[in-house]
Amino acid sequence: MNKTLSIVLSVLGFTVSSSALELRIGSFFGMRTMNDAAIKDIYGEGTVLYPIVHLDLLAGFGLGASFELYDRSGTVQPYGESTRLKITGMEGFFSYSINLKIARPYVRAGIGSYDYEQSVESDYLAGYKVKAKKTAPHFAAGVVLKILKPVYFAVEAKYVPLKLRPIEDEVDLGGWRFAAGLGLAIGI
Amino acid sequence: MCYPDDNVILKRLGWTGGKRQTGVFAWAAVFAISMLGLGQTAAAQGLRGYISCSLSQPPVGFGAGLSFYSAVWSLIEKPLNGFQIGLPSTWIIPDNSDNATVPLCPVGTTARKWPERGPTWASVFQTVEGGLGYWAGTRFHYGPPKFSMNGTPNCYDDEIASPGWGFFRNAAALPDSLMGIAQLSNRILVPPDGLPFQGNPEGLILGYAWMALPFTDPKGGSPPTGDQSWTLFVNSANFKGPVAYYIPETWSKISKGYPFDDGRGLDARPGIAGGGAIEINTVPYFTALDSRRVLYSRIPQLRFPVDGQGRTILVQDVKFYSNAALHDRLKAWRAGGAASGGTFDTAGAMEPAMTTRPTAFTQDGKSLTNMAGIVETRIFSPNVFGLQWHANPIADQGFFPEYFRDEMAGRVAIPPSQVPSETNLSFREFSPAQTGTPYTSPSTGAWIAPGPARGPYQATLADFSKVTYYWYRFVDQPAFQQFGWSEVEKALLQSLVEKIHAGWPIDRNYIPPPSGGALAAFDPALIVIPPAGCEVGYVPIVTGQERVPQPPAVPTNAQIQRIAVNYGFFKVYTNRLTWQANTQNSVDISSYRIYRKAKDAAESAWSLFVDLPGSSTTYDDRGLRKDQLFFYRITAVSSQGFESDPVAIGN
Repeated sequence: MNKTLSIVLSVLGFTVSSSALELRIGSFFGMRTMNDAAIKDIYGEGTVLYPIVHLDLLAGFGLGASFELYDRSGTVQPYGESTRLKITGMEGFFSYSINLKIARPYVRAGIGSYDYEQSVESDYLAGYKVKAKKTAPHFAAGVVLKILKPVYFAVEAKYVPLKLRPIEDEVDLGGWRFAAGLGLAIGI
Repeated sequence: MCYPDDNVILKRLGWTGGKRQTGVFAWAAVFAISMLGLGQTAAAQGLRGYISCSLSQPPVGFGAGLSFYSAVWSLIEKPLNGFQIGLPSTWIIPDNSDNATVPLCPVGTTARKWPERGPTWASVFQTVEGGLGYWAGTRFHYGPPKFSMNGTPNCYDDEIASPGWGFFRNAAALPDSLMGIAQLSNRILVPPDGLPFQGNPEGLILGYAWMALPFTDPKGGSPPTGDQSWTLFVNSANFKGPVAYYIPETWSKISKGYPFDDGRGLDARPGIAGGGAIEINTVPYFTALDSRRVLYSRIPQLRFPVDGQGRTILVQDVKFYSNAALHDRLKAWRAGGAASGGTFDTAGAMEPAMTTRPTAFTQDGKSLTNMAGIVETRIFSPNVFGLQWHANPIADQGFFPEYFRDEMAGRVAIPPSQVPSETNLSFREFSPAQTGTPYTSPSTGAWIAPGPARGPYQATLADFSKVTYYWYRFVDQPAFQQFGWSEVEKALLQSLVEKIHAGWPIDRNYIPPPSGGALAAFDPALIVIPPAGCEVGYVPIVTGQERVPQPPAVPTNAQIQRIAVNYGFFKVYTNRLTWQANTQNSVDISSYRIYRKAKDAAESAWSLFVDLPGSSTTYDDRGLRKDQLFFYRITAVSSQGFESDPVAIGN
């Protein structure tokens, strides 16, 4: 299998690293887009922070987990009511990467469980409670750069499709994350 | 009314110091609009002008009476604070043309301080005036004008306007010794705040007459008193006949201690109809500068009734009367002769010739330079005077221009479209008229001794006031009690009045009917029927008048707007209700109430939803689901707690 894959990658011009296992622990921070226009109007798009642990196993395949946090405040017009939206997600994923020594591009996909909760300071919203959980897939691609071992730097684009209907209107909390990460890569 | 400003009017019309001039009887519409300091300029005189015509001098002997018909209409859309207007009215003074040098007004009287009236002060010695109009002192406002008598017996020291009451200035009844009008009719009330009309008498006419009648004999002594009782007759759609009269002693009193005036008052001398006036003064007036520092002004809209030919008939069918019209027949009846029906014999009447005068308006001392193209005075037929309105780009026919622009040559009337928006003049609101304090009479003196025979009774009038009145035996009414008449004198007078009550109905044409036009009707609540046992010889005397709390007018321009408030995960709906205060309101609004029921609910489901401050003009019914639809009713609540009819809106 390794031989076959090495041949394939050699044909493609890549040099495969001899290291097979690597644990990366770090955190991404970056911009987040919000698909839902109404949510975006109220809270904006803002930033996202997600710690991540990633274990590269054999032949470029790996697995990992991350925790994602989105916490934004906003104002609902026309009455200027203060509101807060907090989304947390626990994600697990599988990955595939190519070890090019300094650079390690990868793709990953997985599933996450997202808790979301909205609070509004209003006297007129009895019966309108937004607090629930939703499972959704996510997809990401990026590259890990090992410039100063064991520290690594990474950039990643991640997309989470997260459509839900907590009350009556369907809301798409999904969107892209364009993040940069920093962490430690430990060879095992 | 007719204070010193009338001096100017009289002089302009040819009157000087009581001398009888040629063509002396004149009608004048006098616009004297003063600013209230609103806007950017200091308080100043706003608008002044004349709409007048003159009448030829009547022959000698025709000083015993006068009648005419005057247009009755609402000159303004709603009663305004401090707004005073007199519609075409008359002015009668005693004929003292035989005196060219001696003052008729004793030293110390009010008018004697007006040197321009000298040397005789004849024009301000004694007057019968009043008529149709709006007066700043009016306490109960309702829209159309009112009719009020007014007489000045002593050089403007006092004014007497109704049985027991003065001319608006004081809410308290006159002192016993100053009363001067006797209630004659037993069918119509004479409230101290004037007689209101029924409905909106747009373009209708009212006929009225002042006739010198011999209800009593001349009296000798000091001072002597003549036999002339100047009696008001009216000709309306629902009341015709005599109303009240000035007691002769009212006029002769002034010569007590001033013998020169003996026999020179209206009790003894022929009357001269020396001038009439529409007076407009104390009218709110806004001014503002535009961005180029040009001054613009605005007055309330003044409206006139206009026929299909662009004409406003102001006065018609003027007649002067001699004693042959009624005086002589009444005197004979009183002496036991043939009964008089009270109608004016045309053999004792004459119609003067009319001539008109051009209009001249000023504002802040500057001429309005383009008014001739808008409206002009006109004699439409030999005894009909009025205004001819011309088609013009500034205002519709029948509407006096509201807006003016200051220019080098004067003030120019302009259409609203030429007023720069930055002046905000079109958004300014003139303050509505305020209700005055109630009229009250004492429970002492002439009001109770000998006192009334029946009462109290009450009537609610069209001006939102309530009058309290009692039935007095005619000679027991308060105005007579100061004179100390003998029982014989009282009995003679009482006997004559009882014959009048029995023989003069209220649907007879005492004044000759008008040559054209329809008669206005007085407020039907003024028309009363004597109680059983008081059918003749008793008269209703108003002892008080107060405001009847009225509900506010319905809020206007009520609208509903459905607003979706998007919280991202859900939408919640708002019904935004908006309305405006009704500009017809003459009461203070303390709150607005909103009632609500679900769209599909029964009528019984209406319930008070919210009570808002009186300054509110909007309310958001928030937190509604998409399927929650409602109907609303909005009412205004006055500071007295009265609630208007609702205006309804709904999803």
